Parts: sequence; C-alpha cells; structure tokens
Amino acid sequence: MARTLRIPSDLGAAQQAEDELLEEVARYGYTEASTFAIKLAVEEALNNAIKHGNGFDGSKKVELTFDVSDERAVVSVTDQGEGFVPDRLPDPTADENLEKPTGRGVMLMRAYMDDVRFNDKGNQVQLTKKNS
Amino acid sequence: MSRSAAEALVVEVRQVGDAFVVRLVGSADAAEAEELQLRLEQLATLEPRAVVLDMGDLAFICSAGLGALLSAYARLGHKRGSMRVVRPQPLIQRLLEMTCLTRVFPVYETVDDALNG
Repeated sequence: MARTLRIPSDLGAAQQAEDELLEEVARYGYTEASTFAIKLAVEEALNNAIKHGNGFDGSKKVELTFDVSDERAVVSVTDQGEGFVPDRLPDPTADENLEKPTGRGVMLMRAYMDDVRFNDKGNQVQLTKKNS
Repeated sequence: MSRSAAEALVVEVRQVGDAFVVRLVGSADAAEAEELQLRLEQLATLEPRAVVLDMGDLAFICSAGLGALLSAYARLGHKRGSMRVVRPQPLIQRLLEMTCLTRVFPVYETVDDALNG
C-alpha cells in the first residue's frame, strides 16, 4: 500500500523521510545495491524538489510517496514549484557544460533506476526500481 | 572482489613519482562527496602530473561526487588527462558515459596503464 509523507522544504526533514522509505525497502529484502541506488536517486529528487522546485520556501511542502512490493519500489517526489521541462535543462554533456560540477542529477537518476518519468507540469518525478 | 554498496567511502592515496593514485572504496553519497572534494582538491594543490582514480571498488557515486571530481579537475587546470579513471564498475562506467565524462576523464584498464597513459 502506498504511503505519502508531506515534509517541509528542509534537507533535514528530507533525510528523515528518506530513512522511512529505506526502512520499507529493507522490509522487502531488496539487495544492498538496489537499496543504495534508490537512496541516491531519491536524494537527488528530494534535493531538486527542495532547492530548485520550492526554492527552500518554508511555506511550500514536498510530498514523498512510495509503494514498495516484492517486485518493485515506486517512489514519487512532488514539489509545489512551477515545474520544469527536463529536455530544456542545460545539457551537461554539451561541450560548454562538460566541466561544470553541477547539473547531472537527472542523468544519475536515469542511470541508477529502471524507470524515471516526470509529470507534464514538471513538478513531480516518479522513480521505479525493480527488486533484482 | 567488489565491496559492499552500503559501505562508507574510503579514500586511499599513494604517490607514484609525480602522480597520485587515489583508490575509492565503497559508495559516495552526498555527505561523503564533500570530504572527497576536499581530499582531491588538497592533492590538486600539490600540482601532480596526474591524479589516477582507481574505481574498481567504487559501487556508487552521487552527482555531488561527480561534482567533486570535476572541482578537483578544475584545480588541476582543466587539463585533459590530468585526472584519469581506472576500471570503473559497469554502473559507474554507464554513468560516466551517459554524462559524457569519459571525454573529460580518460578510462584505463589498469593503474599502470593510467600512469603511463
């Protein structure tokens, strides 16, 4: 059954929410590698939601929803920002951006998870990891 | 043998001539990326010919960890070949390729190859 945690735009609160998610993942016996992949991808998503989505605005919340089963973990992170178009983000693989230290969070999520999708508004990302 | 994914990052540094070999063991999450950046930037201030990153036992790295590598690379003067990667695990290799960082950090099969590259 899916659970939703509604947290303030605060990195400490995000850490607590992430810990609750990982406890749920542990209950289903996911491999250590899958668990760590989920941890890193969700950290990226929560950081993006708090920093870029809500802009650290204390009046705005972030929702972390997770539905973990024996087969897969589905996690969504939703902020109250204006949203963004993933394809319009600066391309970190372009020559002029290649040596910049930031801007690779979405690519990292795609590398570590089995499926990554954004809603039309661009204020929600859904991450799926199979239990393998 | 690969180390555990959940194992905290260990950074082992040794000097070989005018280069440093940095062995990364475990996984680098956001908290550890900061420490990694400090260690690598300290090495960069010594102006080595190259920093060789042995990633054979690195299970995961977060985006801040990639940023740490690039910050140190900047301290090395943005010189291609000043930072080299050795035998990354498939997931890390995939991430480096997806982000095109293999164009910044040449990848080698062995530490010796990287030192001689």
